[in-house]
Amino acid sequence: MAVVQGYNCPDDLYYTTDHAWVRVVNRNHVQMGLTDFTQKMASTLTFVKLPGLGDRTDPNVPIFSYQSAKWVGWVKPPAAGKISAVNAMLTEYPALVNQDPYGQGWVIEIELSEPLERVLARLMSGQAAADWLAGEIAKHGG
Amino acid sequence: MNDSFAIYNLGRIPWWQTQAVYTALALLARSAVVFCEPDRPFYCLGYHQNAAELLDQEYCETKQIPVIQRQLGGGLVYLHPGQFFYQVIMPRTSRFFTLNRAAFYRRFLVPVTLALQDLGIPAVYQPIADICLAGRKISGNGAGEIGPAVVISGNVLARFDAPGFLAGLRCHSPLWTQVIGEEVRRLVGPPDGLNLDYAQVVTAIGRRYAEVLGDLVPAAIDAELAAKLDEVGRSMQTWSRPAGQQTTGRRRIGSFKITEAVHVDYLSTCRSGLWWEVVGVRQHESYTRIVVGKGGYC
Repeated sequence: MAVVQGYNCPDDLYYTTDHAWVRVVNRNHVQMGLTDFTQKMASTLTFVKLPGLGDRTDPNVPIFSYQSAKWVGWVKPPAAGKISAVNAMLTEYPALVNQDPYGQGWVIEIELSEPLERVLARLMSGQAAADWLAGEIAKHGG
Repeated sequence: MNDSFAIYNLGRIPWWQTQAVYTALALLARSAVVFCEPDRPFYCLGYHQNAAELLDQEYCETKQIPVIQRQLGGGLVYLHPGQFFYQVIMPRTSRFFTLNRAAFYRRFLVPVTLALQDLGIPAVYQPIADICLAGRKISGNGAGEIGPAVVISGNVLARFDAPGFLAGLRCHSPLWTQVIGEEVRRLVGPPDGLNLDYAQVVTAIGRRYAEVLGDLVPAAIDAELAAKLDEVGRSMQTWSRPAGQQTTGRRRIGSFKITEAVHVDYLSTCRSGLWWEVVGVRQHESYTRIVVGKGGYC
């Protein structure tokens, strides 16, 4: 796993400019969650408001919200499609995102309605993601 | 990049506009500092809260106390004249925005704390988002992303109507409600009020914000903003969400936030045919007071 100035940034994931990660489950499904950088900037999450199963996703429209430190944040989905799974544990235990952001703290899964290759072309990965994160750390005083 | 902030000194305005104005400015992606005061009391819920769970709807309707849901974080608050609001709105691209919550609140709440000190109030900034006087909260704050912008909204509690606040709360348990009342009276608002008026507060905070944000450019509500205000205001009143008290079998749990540091937690459990209640006052991660009561048959 890559570590950028103390923030975990797994090599096998893709990243959005909303500081969310995307995992390819198979050619038709991707999973999504908040990055280690996000959860550390946010501090302990107190709410995650999940979408409903079957809700349509649009990469330009936020799909879920979360709260920490009296702050409401929003995340846009990486792809067009529909919600195929949500991590219902987060409604009771939102701090799972802090404890295990890339594992038990996953947030949603999307069934794609566009080709996977097109989705991944919009996302960052590998060294490009690490370089972008380094810039964000400098900007936000991580 | 033109990063200059407009200043809207709106004075006393219709209650709903105090929440709609920053929402509208955010949706228009403007950089602005707003000062205002509501013209009547109302309840204001945080974005992730549920009106029916926290408030007695029949009481609010009978007394004609409006309820609004803001798009920012934080807990239920009772807002009324005598509370002076300051709000800062900026696009996410602003150099004054940071994702680091602690740094963000410090950037915008230390100037408010210094302004109160300028006015002779020995206020203290209590991270992450409260300002206190002698251990009592005299300013509450919430923040969040709204459309293309980021907002922090807070108020100076020159006075706080604790009985008014408590009267409209939904009573899940008399014991829990009693302890919440005791903690609110102990910790929220200046006991004898602050000897401040709106104009003093605006001048002092405006001066301190200008030190951080640069010169603030006086502005008035224009046609575009007025239209957006109207559109936003219509969508903010709420009783629409279903009650959602957490219930797990024969246990009920809940938590009510008093200040940044203090919560009143509630647990009831059914044992031997009776509800047993435990109410705990939690300061950070430690309980400073625990009250046990016996409820009705279950």
